[in-house]
Amino acid sequence: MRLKLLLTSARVWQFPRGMASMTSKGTLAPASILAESWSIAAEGYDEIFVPRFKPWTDNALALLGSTEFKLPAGDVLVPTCGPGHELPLVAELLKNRNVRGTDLAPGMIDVAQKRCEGNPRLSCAVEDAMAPSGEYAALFSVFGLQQLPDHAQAIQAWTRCLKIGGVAVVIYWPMGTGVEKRGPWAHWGRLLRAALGDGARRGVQGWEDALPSAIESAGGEVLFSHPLKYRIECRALRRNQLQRATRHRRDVGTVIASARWRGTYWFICAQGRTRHSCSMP
Amino acid sequence: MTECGPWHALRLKKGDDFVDGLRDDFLAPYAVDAPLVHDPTARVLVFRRKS
Repeated sequence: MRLKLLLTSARVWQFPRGMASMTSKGTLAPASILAESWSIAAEGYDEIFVPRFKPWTDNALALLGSTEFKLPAGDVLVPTCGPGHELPLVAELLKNRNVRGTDLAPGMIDVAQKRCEGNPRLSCAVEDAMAPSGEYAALFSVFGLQQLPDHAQAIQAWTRCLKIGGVAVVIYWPMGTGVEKRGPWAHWGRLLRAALGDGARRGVQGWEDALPSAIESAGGEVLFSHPLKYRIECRALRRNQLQRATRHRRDVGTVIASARWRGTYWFICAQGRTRHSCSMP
Repeated sequence: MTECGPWHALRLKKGDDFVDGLRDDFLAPYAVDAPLVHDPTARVLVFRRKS
């Protein structure tokens, strides 16, 4: 069931088994297109979106490192790891544990592999997050779940790949107005719905409501679930400028975010009130 | 979002002309070179395997 070769001008990517026949239930694009798309977009995503989403990543890391969780012995899985930026962060947080990242897109794993080099505790592989292999003490995923073709099935698989007592920290984008009622993403969504109708839908209606029962049916228990809002500020809308402009403001807490803008690194502190900048070499 | 993000897949599925055709409508409400600010809300889900 699993073999698909995707030819591009630059390389040949071999997909893992099962992906070619994966259905695209409720998603805008089938898995083969997603894998190709994210492979092409990998380096740009790493440059633009990784810093933009850093506040959410930092929050997830803080949760994973919380002392209230008594994790069993074992490794950590980072499904939908993208360019692997979280892998060294998780390894630094949970010392003496191996961290394994997986992603559907070979291009993403190419980038992630560079981050794994030189650290024997890190590894990454092309793997379908709908069917993770192995057993883990913890699972960490930021902004991957909403892209999967069957969210309830995915969260069940993620629950089952945990050891007894193992903990998962998952952050995802909810659908529709759950993300934002106004703003550019909502605006974009309205344009797509006008152009594509139901074809613009990214997920089965109400899939989020099914997650808790899916976790429980797989032997898990939800410890907590809550919204998490941060500010994203793009400095410009023109394409070449947009790719260099991100800033974050944290609503609560003390995490510092950084972003690159015209050769300058900006460090924005909590509540976005204190800023320091320094020129980079 | 359509170059390096989740909507790049739309370019592969529908073509660059389709996506680029939405660009002017997308930019219409926003001032050129003005910061684009928004506050998207994600969801955090923490769960444990108990059996």
